[in-house]
Amino acid sequence: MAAADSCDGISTSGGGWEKTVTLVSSDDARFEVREAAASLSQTVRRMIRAGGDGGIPLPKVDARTLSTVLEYCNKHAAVPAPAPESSSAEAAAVDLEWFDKELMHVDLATLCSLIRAADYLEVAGLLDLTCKTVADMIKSKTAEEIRQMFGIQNDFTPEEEEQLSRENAGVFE
Amino acid sequence: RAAGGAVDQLSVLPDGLIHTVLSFLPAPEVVQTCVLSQRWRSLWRSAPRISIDEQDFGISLMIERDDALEVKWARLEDFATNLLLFHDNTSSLGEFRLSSRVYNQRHVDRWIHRGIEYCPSVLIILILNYCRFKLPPVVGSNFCHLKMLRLCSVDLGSHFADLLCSACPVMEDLKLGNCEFSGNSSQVITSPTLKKLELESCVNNTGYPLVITVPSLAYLCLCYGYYEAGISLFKMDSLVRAKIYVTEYETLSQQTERELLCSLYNVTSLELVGFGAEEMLIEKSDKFPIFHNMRTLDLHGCFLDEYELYDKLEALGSFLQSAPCLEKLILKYCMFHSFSDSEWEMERKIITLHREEVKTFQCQQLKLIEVVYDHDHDHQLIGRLGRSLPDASIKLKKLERFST
Repeated sequence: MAAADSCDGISTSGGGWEKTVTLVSSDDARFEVREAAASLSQTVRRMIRAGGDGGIPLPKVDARTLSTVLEYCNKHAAVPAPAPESSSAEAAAVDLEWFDKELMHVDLATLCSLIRAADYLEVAGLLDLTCKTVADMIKSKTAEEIRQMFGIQNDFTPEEEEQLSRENAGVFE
Repeated sequence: RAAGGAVDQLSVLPDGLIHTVLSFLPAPEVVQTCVLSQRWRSLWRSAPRISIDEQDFGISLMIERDDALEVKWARLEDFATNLLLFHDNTSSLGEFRLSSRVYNQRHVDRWIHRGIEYCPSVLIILILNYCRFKLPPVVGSNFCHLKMLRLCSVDLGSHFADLLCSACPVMEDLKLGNCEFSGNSSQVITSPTLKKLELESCVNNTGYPLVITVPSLAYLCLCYGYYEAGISLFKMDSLVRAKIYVTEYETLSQQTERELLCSLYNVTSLELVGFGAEEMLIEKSDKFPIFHNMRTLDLHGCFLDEYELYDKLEALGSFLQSAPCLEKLILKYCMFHSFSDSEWEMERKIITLHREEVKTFQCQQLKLIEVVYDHDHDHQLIGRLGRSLPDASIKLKKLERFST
């Protein structure tokens, strides 16, 4: 993080005690974020190190998705309590879990955008969270239910379908 | 034909991301996604994680061996065998995980063999039988990508040490639970790359000491176990965090326990469970080294042996003096046995401190002592501590030990 001192292109909050960086979404929205939070993204962290002018461009993430990603990062990079003790640490974990759950109350399109963004930005925790959310939607459902839920088109021909069920019966049932 | 006009956002994700989604599903459901559409037909075959888990087949640890179990086990056998047979083996695997009991050694051998042939980065073999499972012979070159290895209830055989030392060039994380060291030669864990090592309830009856030489190790957890000929740690230069759990039923001699402590000279954070005053009293043997980096010391259930409180505090104090940079000390259920049994209560109440001269210990950085106790009489301990370590503030927390 010390490297950021030498990057003159990255705005730092003057009076504040915490360093910030500016991220620029694909649709040119600018987000000023605490460096600690932005650094949860390995991609951003590398770009902070590399330095540059006028903020860090993130051409693969739109403003709407980026703001959700940053909500996640801000929460997960919260300033740690000065003396973490067992009870407050537990409470913090419960709070985070609740936060994560709430954050995942989004429609499917948003969820898939978040998966792509978390992958591109390399925010490991968010990638796991979003992928697990989708996995939980798939879990314990029939093929038809899964297709309905995600709008997956069954594009097998009747012959293929018959072959598939034969294979499955022979191999996995 | 898209249902309700919804656009299929999921299927258009790249394979790698769909695989990440699938990694959170039980193996049978991963395979079942092949019927969704053409896009999904072969995705499971290239999934970088293979997990064979008896729980996914309704087999639980509680279940009795009966006909229903035979049927479930047969399903698991067929599934696992086919999964491994039809999985795409052109690239090396991210993770192979097996969690099961062994009803049929031949099958389990074959799965493990096959799983290892995929050269996984993560290999997890959890045998749920109490009796230890002897691994089938493995080819060392299959461990070239292995970064993390977890074994549970496995008889390590005579080649484990060689394998670890010579065939695992990138190994970083090793966890052995209820495993047995065996063979007629010295027992060693040697790895220049290992960063994390956890040994839980392992057994070494070979008559040779267990010698651990891991110069890159940052985290060590040594939890119970039975080591007839002791454990020696070497080159712990990189160690940052260590947890050592002992019990009175173990065979670790006090000498060994002391030596273990001494070899942790570089730790920043140390957690000890079950240590007695005996091991820490300096007049008993040589001095401790100076723990230059130690910031946090967490003692849980320590100093419960038959010494006077005065001696116990002296043992603690003398150990603390070897940690000049210590900032935080946690004493959780230390010094006093706690039984609601009346005889013990009585004994506790009549504890008197005969010697009133208080030795003051030098531990200048120590700012916080957190005492977790479940009995009011332990206040006596706190009063004592306050006098022995005048610089630190003491925080009390009463917490029932056996609360539900």
